[in-house]
Amino acid sequence: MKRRKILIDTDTGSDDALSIAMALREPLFDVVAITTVAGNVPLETATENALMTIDYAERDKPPVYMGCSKPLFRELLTADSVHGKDGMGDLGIFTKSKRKPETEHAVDAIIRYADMGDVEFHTIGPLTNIAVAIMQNPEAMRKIPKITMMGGAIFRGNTGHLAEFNFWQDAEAADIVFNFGIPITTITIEACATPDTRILEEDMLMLKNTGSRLAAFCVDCNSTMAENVFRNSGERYFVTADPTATAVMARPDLIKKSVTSYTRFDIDGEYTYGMTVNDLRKTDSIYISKDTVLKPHNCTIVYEVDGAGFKEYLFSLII
Amino acid sequence: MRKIIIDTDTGSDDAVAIVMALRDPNVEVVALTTVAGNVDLEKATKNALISIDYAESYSPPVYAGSKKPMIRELETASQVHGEDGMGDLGTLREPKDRAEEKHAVNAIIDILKNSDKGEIELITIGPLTNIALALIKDSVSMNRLKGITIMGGAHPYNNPHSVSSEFNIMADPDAAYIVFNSGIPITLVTLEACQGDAVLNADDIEHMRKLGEIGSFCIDCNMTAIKAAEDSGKEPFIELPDPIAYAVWARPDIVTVSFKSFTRIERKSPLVYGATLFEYEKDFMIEAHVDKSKTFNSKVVTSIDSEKFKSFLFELVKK
Repeated sequence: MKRRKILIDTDTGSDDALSIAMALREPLFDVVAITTVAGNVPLETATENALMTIDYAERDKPPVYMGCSKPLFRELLTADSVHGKDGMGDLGIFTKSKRKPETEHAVDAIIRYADMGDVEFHTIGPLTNIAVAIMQNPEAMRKIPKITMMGGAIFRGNTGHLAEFNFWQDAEAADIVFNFGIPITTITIEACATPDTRILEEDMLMLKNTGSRLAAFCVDCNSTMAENVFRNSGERYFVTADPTATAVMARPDLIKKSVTSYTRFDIDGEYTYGMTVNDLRKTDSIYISKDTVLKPHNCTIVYEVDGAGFKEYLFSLII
Repeated sequence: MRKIIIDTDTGSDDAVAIVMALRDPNVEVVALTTVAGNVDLEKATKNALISIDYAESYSPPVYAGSKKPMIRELETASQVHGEDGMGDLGTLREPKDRAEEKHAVNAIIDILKNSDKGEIELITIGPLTNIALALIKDSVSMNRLKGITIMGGAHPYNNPHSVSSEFNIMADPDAAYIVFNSGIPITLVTLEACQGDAVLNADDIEHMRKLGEIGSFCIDCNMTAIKAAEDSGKEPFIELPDPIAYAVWARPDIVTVSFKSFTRIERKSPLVYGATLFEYEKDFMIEAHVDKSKTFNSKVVTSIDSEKFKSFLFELVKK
């Protein structure tokens, strides 16, 4: 069987770590490179976390490349409150990797892998690296067969109005990437935040009881999030945004609801910076504003997945 | 007797709302004020006068107001309402009366200045230009309003007019911004409340005609929408957002889904200007940068009882 070549672009915090672990363990995938970007945490921290996750997944590759340390135009606003200052729950119990990142810049690595023409991309952070690579070498970037992303929103968002954190952090970059023309499937925050995708207290116990070092790592690095959720809601669980996208990439049968859309990102609004603007309009309505030219759809938006199927798949990979 | 001012860019569905209000035995329409929107100001004023004649009730004064949005250029909706705003029939009688000399903005202020606090209510079924100007000129008098019922807005994900905005708000987002910041209690009847079962279907259209001349007028003035549906091979149907806004005001029990919201209007983004941004109570807490000044400024209506609405409409237009 020919394995699918995958490049993962990540702002490795706790849920990215699960995604990386899943992809490294998925027999269908050959993860050829991991590139890091500032997002959930600063770039150096994201890079350390990615290397560490490879260790815990008991792999000695792929190479890790460091990318952009801040969004294109805005300052970096991290998500300490969700993932902890170290991005992994601030527990101080994990063993740092002895491996080092490569010296090549992630943007150059991205261009090189894109140029091979048979490497799929998986982005689980802000799209800064991908946007810069597009600006630097659009010809190579056009060869990417497909990008599967975690990001965006369709009904509500989690960061301001209809904005989702990954794309909100660098909406200019998101707009560049969505307008470029690579086939995109994005798994929105709504698909990732439903109750049936949550990793519950009983799931955490089960995973730790398996004795799998990787499963324990995956639970531990999200335990601070689970405690925060418990303080706010009285229930102990953590949400797994990035892993949902990783699962969909491997298992499209987990998709329950999706639409195609012409999607852009607001970058100018007083209140709407980072808004995922999904144009789902039909051409045959008179109620469309005059002189409107509807654009061809540029992405598939996945907004509901089979939560039970997702969890079963996730557990099977990390135990 | 409840007293209202109706501010209208009279095109076809505005005409139906005006007819309903004038024939409602529990209501006194103290003035109609016109504004450019669906059609230019001159046509809107003429159509308001025509609607008064066809309603066969009493004749409130009509005041012509703003000729264009505060800052943007006027974009009409002739594709929905016809070039004349009333279905381009060529058979409607010329109006008997003329508009008053006084400008609508001054008329609104003067009526309120001479009213008791809470005595008068306002229903807007066009862009909010007149209301914003009145607020700027005399917010003290305007605050005598008991409330404003606005036909406008939509959830940004579900919108036929533009990618994210509804016509009345999008036509003058700057005015809407001022109105939503005024502190006057707002009931916002969104486009969602006016779609689905709430549209008049072929049977309803036939029934309206059978109710007599007034019912027939209400259908005839919507002929552009009916023809557009037929031209695209569909059963005829008419969306009636403005009559639904009137009905929500007159008969609040037709509302089936509504929520209190801190609503803001995006006016700066070229991509999504006119978007109505809703925040429910719980969202005040989860936004990244909590704004303690947020208070509910509106009740947002997103669904109505279509049967109740239609029987109310039939009852009022029946001769």
